[in-house]
Amino acid sequence: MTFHRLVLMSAAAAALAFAGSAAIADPPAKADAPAMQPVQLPDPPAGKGQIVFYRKPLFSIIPFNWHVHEGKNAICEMIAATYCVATVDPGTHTYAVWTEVKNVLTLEIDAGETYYVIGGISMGVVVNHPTIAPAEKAQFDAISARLKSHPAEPPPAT
Amino acid sequence: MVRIELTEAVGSKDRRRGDKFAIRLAAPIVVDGRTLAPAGSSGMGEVVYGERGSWGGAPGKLVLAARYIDVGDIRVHLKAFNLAAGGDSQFNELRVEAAIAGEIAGVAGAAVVLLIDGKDVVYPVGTRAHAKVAEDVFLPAGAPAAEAESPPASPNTAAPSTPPSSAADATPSAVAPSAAPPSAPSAGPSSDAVTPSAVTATTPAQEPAK
Repeated sequence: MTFHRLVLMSAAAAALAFAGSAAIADPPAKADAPAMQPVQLPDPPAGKGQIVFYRKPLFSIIPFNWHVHEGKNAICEMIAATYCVATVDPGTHTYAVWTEVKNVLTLEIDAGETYYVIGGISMGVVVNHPTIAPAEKAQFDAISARLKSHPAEPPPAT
Repeated sequence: MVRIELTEAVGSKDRRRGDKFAIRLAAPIVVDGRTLAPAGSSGMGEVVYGERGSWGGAPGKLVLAARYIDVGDIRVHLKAFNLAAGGDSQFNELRVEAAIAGEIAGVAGAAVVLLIDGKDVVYPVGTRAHAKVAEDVFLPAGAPAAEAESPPASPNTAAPSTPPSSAADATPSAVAPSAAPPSAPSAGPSSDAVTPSAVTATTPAQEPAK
């Protein structure tokens, strides 16, 4: 491959990477569609908190899903256009997702409270990296009507 | 529910777990028509988790907690502050897939993409959110409630990154705990118990300084 061709292909790759802001990663609702009501989540059980792990809808050529872990225990599988509610004990919890590198998030859970965590993707050298970040209830409510629910992983046997 | 305001900017770029930051009451604590804690009472918060945006477009993250407010010599411990956000990923997920295709096509182009950091989170001075009283506390009864909510603190220059648009009025989704009615003292100076469900925010929400 000549140097000239390599430069052209690299420039095309960079342009391709930045393109797509108008592409459908989060399809907008139709203008005449009725307003969709956000999902009404139940309150956490007494003495517990709950965390909603969710991902936005995504038109994806290659499905890429992952599990959120706390230590060695899988908590929720994060699938595009779904949410999963995990019930947890109050206290400090550290969650992680990984492929090549680990992405971590620590939360302090209070009893009776609900927390929101959004999953995303960042670029890696060989494979994509999953990411988890805190989110606001308003962000979840804005798209929850378009998400499907799936159950959290069962807690490990004690 | 008490209304808390940041008096210093806090960002994911330079704050890490355990870092402290200054807060104050944005609205007085009023119980039964009496002001127990005036607006402007200072306190302290703590960073629960902070991570700056990193290569490949991974977003910055910031999770904050309000620890306490000092009312005179009495420390009112707080919980459920729940001010947390992640910066926008520099790439939406479809772009990532396009970038993967670009990686196959050209190594140099992929290197450019990988070097771009995700956006950081900054809560500027004046950001407001709700918190809850963590435990019962007795405060001396104050004057009848008459003060308006204190004006927001003057914002410093915020770092040029993505301020959370809805973070200032972040309200934890929670069920207010049922509280036992406060016991009335039989003699001596009057005082009121502040229980997690007895606190009343008397002033309307305000938009934060941006």
